[in-house]
Amino acid sequence: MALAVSVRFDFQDDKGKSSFTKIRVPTGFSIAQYTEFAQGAAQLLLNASTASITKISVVFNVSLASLGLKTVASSVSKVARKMFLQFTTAVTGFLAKTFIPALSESKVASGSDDVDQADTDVAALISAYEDGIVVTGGTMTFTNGRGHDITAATAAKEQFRRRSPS
Amino acid sequence: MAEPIEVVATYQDQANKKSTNTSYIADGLTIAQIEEGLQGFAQLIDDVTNALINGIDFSISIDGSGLTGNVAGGTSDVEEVAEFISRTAAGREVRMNIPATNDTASVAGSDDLDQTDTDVAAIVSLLEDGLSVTGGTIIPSDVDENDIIEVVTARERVRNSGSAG
Repeated sequence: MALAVSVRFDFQDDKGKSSFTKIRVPTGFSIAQYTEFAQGAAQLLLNASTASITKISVVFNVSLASLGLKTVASSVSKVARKMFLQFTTAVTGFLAKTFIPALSESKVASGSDDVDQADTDVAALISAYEDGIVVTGGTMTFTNGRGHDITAATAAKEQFRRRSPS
Repeated sequence: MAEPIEVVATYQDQANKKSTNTSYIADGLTIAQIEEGLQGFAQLIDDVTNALINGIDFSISIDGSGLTGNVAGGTSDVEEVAEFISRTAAGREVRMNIPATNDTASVAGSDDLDQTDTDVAAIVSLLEDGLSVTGGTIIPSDVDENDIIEVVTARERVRNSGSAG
């Protein structure tokens, strides 16, 4: 069974304190329809609140069933061991960064903390970030947080981080 | 420029520690196309991580610039919440809290919200009947997509400072 879509509303009061609420709604509608619902519901929530609304978002859960992904974590897996990837974007000076937890040691070049970009799996992932992933009728392209298209990888390193910085 | 769509993948290692990875994708695709693309992405990251991928969510930011009266009032406190407890067609309870409830929305001498108040009644209607959108009606539900059929309780509550949600 699919999980419901979450519509999240972030609030801020006069003292700068923040909070949020969620409304779950069924799947099966379009982005335009969810947008219409979220904007309408936001106005009703705002009318019933004395705070302001600072952000509205609609969150979808992707079904991972039937993809054949691992079902057991490796006995040596550590989420703190991350693959750090850095990319240039279509706008000069604006980079994109991401940290993928629990990097497999087999993807790290011997005697180095460089991720082995000649490895087939690593190359495929970097290619996806650079060129996108082809989907039915289009291509899903990756960007940085400002929406600038990712163009080329400039760094791929093993890094240890206790928390997710991205 | 529209904000990019945020993609968050959650991982879990052998010690049951969890971590996330955030990526961004361009807008302009349908939900089905994004799901197809992210299922492909899941397989790519599964090949380089030795943790479990617990889930992948994507979040679309909605333009709120058209909201009217979107200014915090001088006495607003997000800890004062309007709590709505509803029941779905499957009999499941669904709670929804609106932060910084209006002090005038409750019945005198009680913490019950005044359901004859226009703004409170609009929330009850939103939860029970949903909102009409172009080509349909979206009715709030529980996590398993069972529609809310009835608001059972609507009252003012107080949250501890620093608590989320």
